[in-house]
Amino acid sequence: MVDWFLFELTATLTAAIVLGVFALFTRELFLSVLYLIAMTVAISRVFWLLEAPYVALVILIVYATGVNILALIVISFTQTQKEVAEPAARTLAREIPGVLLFVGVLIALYWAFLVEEPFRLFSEGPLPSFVSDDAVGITSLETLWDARSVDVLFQVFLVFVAVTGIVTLLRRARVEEKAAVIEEY
Amino acid sequence: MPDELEILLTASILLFALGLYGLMTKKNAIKVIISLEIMFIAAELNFVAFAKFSDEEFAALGQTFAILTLLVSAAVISLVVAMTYNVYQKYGTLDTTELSLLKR
Repeated sequence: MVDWFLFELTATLTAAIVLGVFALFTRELFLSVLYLIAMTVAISRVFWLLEAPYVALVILIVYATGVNILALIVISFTQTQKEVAEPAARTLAREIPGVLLFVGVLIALYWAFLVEEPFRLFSEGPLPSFVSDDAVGITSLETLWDARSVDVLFQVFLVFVAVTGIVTLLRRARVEEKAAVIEEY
Repeated sequence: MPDELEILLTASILLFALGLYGLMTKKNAIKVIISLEIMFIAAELNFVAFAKFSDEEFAALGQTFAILTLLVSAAVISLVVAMTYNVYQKYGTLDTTELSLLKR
């Protein structure tokens, strides 16, 4: 008997990892961001399977559309739509520490998460002090407001600051570009 | 340990290591941002996985933290993307090695 949940979870995660690899190793930057968007959609499906619909929707709205579309716009403005090829020796010199770190982190995280099993701590003893009694047994959105209201307010402020910063930066860049064009003529 | 949690943690580890590898080796600023994004997504996957497979009272809390970190990381990445565009306008390159040479 096939466990369809397990099958779909594994297939979606595999797709996400493969798309992540494509996103990182494709030379075309535009394609790279498109692969990243596809990866985000796959991760969103994983969140949906794990019964976290709000997280799935937020990642779909914020990452797959907002952030990545901004990245696509920036790439189309910058005209460097391809990574510059390097001599093989220089590439190798930079790749070796990267590969070593990749393997080291893989081993360290595997040991930490899958051998030591830290999540076992969660199933025993009383609730940690940062969880208020009001936050137990209710939905994530209720928790978001009831238990983490200060965080939410802080986050609204942070997102507002980020949006203002982006608008200011992009506007200044456009003004400088226009001034350069006027000077040229 | 449930099979599903093991699979999720393995995927999360792979994604995080992949992001770290990109952060170490890629020279293009956009690729560095993509690597950062992959690392953030790996961390959020961990939050949701632990929320799903730990005790019931932690389910809502894990998802809440995932939403909070997701929005903060999105704000940070958007700002970095905008700054990248500004840097390109000023110096005409997105190569991080060239940009680090410019400050000398």
